[in-house]
Amino acid sequence: MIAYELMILYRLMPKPELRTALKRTSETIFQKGGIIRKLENLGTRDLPFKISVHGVVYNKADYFLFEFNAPPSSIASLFDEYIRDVDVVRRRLYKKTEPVGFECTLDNEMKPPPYRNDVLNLIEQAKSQQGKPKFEYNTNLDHYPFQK
Amino acid sequence: MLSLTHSLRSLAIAGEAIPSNYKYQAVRWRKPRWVPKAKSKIFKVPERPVIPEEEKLELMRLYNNYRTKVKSLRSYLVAKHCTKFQASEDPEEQRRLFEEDLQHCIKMNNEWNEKQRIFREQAMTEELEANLSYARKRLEDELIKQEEKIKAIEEIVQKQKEAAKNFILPENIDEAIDKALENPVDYNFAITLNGEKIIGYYNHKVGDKNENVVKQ
Repeated sequence: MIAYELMILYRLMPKPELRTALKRTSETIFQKGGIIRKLENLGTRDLPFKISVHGVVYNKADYFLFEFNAPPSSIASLFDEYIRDVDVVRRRLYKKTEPVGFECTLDNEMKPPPYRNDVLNLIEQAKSQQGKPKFEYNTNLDHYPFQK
Repeated sequence: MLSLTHSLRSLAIAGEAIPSNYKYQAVRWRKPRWVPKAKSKIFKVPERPVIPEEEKLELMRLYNNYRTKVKSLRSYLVAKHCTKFQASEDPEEQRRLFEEDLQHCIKMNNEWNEKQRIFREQAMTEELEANLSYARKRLEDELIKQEEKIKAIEEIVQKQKEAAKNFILPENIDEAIDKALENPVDYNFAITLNGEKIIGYYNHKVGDKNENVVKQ
């Protein structure tokens, strides 16, 4: 079962109208035989750039995130249907991926350089290269007698 | 060609044995093969060595003596050591020796074969055992892998079952919408030097900005 994420931006509307628009969007998913896993409101925000759709220029929008499951064959038509809704400013559909785990090393990075792990590793590396064998001529001379 | 001329020279019969129409050149290893005869020596005819008659006869006598002695010595040694001549002496004895030798050889061969058989059987048992243990290990690994796979699948199913309780369906969509509208979320955060998280882009609840709701 593939989960998708729908980031959808609505034009600024009074709450009842926004509610109907959201209902419309969810109904479309249900009609395709899908289920919604999560619905999140990311608030009203300034758009990063002005967007012109349906003959109107928008500078602000209501951001909503739908997480849903639907048949993959219906995704293209869903994507197409949403932009034909006049309340929708912009929409994007993504396949949901598991977040990649990572370890926070900020604590270590805030230390002075000689205590940081990456600097310590570099010192270790330099030390290991010091022990490299050096070629010796075995001439019993403290200098090389010929021109190099 | 080189060896031919060499051997001819050593025989000292080059002049007589080679037909006159045969192109013959002596090799003296003095100068390269392709360098011709020196211009100043083209017409030089080497002088024939002159050996006095008495000395010739004496040398011939000495040589004849030498050849006779060597020939007799050779024939003596051949008669003494050649098995071909000895075999003809006593066929029964020869046969007996041959049989003895054969029996010895067969015995030795059998011993080797026996040794090899033990070695081979041991190696084969070891190989078989190794193969069997390898197969068993593979089987075990495969079973473990399958078990792990089933476990992972069950985990996913369990997770999905758990998540299914919170699914938004046509029945509870209105509730979900109301809930979402009332609780805006903001994933933006800043981090202080002490590692504290300050959540929110504007550091206040975004949903409260009702003044934004204007008709554009």
